[in-house]
Amino acid sequence: MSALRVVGDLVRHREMLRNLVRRDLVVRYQRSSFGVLLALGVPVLVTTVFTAFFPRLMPGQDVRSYAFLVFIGYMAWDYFARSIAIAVDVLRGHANLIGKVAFPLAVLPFSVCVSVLVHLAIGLTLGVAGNAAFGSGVQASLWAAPLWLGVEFLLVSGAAFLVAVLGVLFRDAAQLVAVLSMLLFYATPVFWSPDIVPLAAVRELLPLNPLYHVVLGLRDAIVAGEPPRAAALGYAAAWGAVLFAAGSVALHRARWRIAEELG
Amino acid sequence: MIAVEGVCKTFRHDAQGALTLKDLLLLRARRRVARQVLDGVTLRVARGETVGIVGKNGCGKTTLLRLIAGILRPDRGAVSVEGRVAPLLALGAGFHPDLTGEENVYLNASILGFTRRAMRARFADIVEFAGIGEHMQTPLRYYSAGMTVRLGFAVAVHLDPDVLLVDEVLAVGDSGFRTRCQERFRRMQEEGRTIVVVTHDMSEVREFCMRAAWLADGRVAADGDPDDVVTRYLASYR
Repeated sequence: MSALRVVGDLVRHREMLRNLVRRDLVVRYQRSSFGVLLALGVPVLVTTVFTAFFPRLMPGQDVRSYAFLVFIGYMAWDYFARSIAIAVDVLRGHANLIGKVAFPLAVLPFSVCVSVLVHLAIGLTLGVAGNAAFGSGVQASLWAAPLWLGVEFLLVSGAAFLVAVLGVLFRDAAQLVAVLSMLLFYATPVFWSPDIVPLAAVRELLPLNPLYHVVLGLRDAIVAGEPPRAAALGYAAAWGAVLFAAGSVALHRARWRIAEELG
Repeated sequence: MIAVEGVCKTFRHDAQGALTLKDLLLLRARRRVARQVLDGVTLRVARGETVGIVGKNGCGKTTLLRLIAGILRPDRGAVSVEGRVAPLLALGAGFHPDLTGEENVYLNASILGFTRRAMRARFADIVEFAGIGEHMQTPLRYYSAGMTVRLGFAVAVHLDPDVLLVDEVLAVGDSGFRTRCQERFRRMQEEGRTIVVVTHDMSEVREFCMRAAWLADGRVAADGDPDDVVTRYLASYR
């Protein structure tokens, strides 16, 4: 029920949402000379470093396809990590606003997810174009990419709601989120492929992580040209739905306490 | 129009500052400190009335406005408001220093629930009222403090709210701007809008308000004729 209420609130406050996203994009890209450079430069650099050192972590791939796989995987990962890192501070950062105007708090973390999505879209477009020109070409399975993005958007929004609440209630939440995020990076097959994991037990645990499927799914769609596996898509989508619902409940339950804490 | 019925509000916070996840994991006991701000406040404001709220610092004036604005929830009692509220305590809410004056107008208005289209029709009036003119395309960080407040104020008074909640913002800007503000308030009063003002400026209460309420120790100590209430309030200092 909370999830439906949150969706209703977001629709009603779409004008505010639009303006907050516009603000984020203007401040990050238009008014900052390094904005675009950082947005695309960092993933390119990360990809270069991994490609220089670790191409053997994906057996059976040549260096060039390794680079595209890492780039796509890193963009997908970065969307999650970046959104969460911003969302954990977003309510505190708008304390002034929360103490002065009554509005549904979900608008703030959700606006983060939307504006960072633009960042991801720019990166992925570059990835798809690069792969079309220098990699495996344009794949017929590309239609599945938006599907995976939708699933990831749901996952990221739910997680953003949760960490936004934690960020207000606990002073040290940001540090904890940073550590967990780093651990999750290594547990997600961004720069390695699952078949190199030596322990069978670990190999079987890894797919519990919904981002595992998002990263592999996006790669299949864009680089490998394989259609999505329904079970993987469904599993990740179910995680997304659960996280979104849990995050909505948390925001709804904590809303008055947050207003008191920050007002 | 506005009905505040027997409202109590207590703020609780941890004695040692904000809670950490570490405390939670270690099951560390936390001492909570409570501060009762409002203790059974009842205040009714009729449509078209202008009510001034006076009282010492920390007596709960701003908390009362926040309850009326729907930002906080009362612990006990009830608050109901009819019509659209523009909280002037939200002066320039969401203003961002890297955005231009114009961009901030639309951002601020959307936070208060107004669409870009609705604001576009009022935009020229807002610019004129704020007296900022050619600087509307300049990022806010280059504005003086007075210009920023004037812009926020100009947006708020052009939203045509049914209820205006004002928190000590009349004392801003130069005398020309203050005169424009006072004229605007007069006009809003004539249009039958409801205004609740929190202020420490007693001449403002005497001049503008039809009624005044004095908050002391979390209760309404006096409510009625502004001259009368202000006199009693000031007498409490002697």
